Amino acid sequence: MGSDFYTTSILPYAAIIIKICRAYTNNQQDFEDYYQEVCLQIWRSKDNFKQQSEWSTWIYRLSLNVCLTYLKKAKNSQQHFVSDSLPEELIADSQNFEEQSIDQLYLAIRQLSEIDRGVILLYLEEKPYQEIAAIIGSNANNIGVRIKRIKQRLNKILNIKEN
Amino acid sequence: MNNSIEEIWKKGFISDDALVAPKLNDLYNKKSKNIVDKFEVVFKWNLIGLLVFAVVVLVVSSIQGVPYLGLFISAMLMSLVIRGRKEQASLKLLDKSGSSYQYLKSFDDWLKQMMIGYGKLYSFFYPALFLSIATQIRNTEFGQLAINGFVNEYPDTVMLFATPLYLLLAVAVIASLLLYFSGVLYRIDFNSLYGRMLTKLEDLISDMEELRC
Repeated sequence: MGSDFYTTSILPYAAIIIKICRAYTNNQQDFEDYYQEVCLQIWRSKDNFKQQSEWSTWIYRLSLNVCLTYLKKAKNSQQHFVSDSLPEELIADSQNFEEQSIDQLYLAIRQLSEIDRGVILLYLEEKPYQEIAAIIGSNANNIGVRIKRIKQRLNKILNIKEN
Repeated sequence: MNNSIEEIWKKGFISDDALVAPKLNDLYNKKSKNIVDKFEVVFKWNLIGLLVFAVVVLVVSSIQGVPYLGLFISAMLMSLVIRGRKEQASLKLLDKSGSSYQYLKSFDDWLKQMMIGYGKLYSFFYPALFLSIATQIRNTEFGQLAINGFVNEYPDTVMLFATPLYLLLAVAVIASLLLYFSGVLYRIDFNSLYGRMLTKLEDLISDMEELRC
């Protein structure tokens, strides 16, 4: 992969890839493997980008497709991201509550099915239902219903009271 | 926890710049484990294995004095390799940048088409392999001795092409069974190599289908 392509076309969108890869992995090693795999596939598939969508949307699609189909043996399944594995009392006492919350949210997201993880990530990234449906390959109504169900499940896992 | 999941997400990523991208290591040589890529790699090595086996069969059969059998089996193995090369070329045309459903379905469709094509080839391959080996054994010294022993034991046996009819019938029945079960045999063979990938693919597609209903 040319370093120019990585710097100009992937790195500015690294946040998207990081957010998606993190939802599909349990530890730092797997996360780095997924990240590299997505970058590799973006580079390999870049000629297929037809400019019918935004580059960022295309990266979302490709990242999700790669994460959904990436085959990696579940090694060290007990390991978690360093920040995910803090003991509960430390989490409660922590000054950095916001950071702990996002880790807990990720832990909850990882309990969802692979497809649901993709759907909720796109929702949290404020993608419109229509766009989520186009990326996943569904229709907007079904996405709306599914998101409602996923949110209920996440709220239950995270013990959040719904309005 | 009182924040909604949307608030947690927003607060967790107040600045995208705070997300540190991992370093890319040796990406050129990195072995891909994406289902399609993984399939391509296993498929490629499978074809190489068939090619090597075809050559080995030819050499060994020539040394053993049964070159025609070796040539026949090698030709059959080569037909599988040639078919595989064509399938490989069509696999490269799959577009990874479509929707997740389209992408998974297009790979699944490709897989099914490939299995149908190979299934037809194998319905010929298994019985032909068995018949060629049986014919060769019949023409060896050992085969002739076995037939002589059989004829001595059952002198009234009906002979056809200098071979006991019962023996020919047994070979015909086995060949027919191989023809009938060739699809099952091929699936067992296929699943032993690609089973894990197929299971994951099926799970993903069924989840997608549910989402589309």
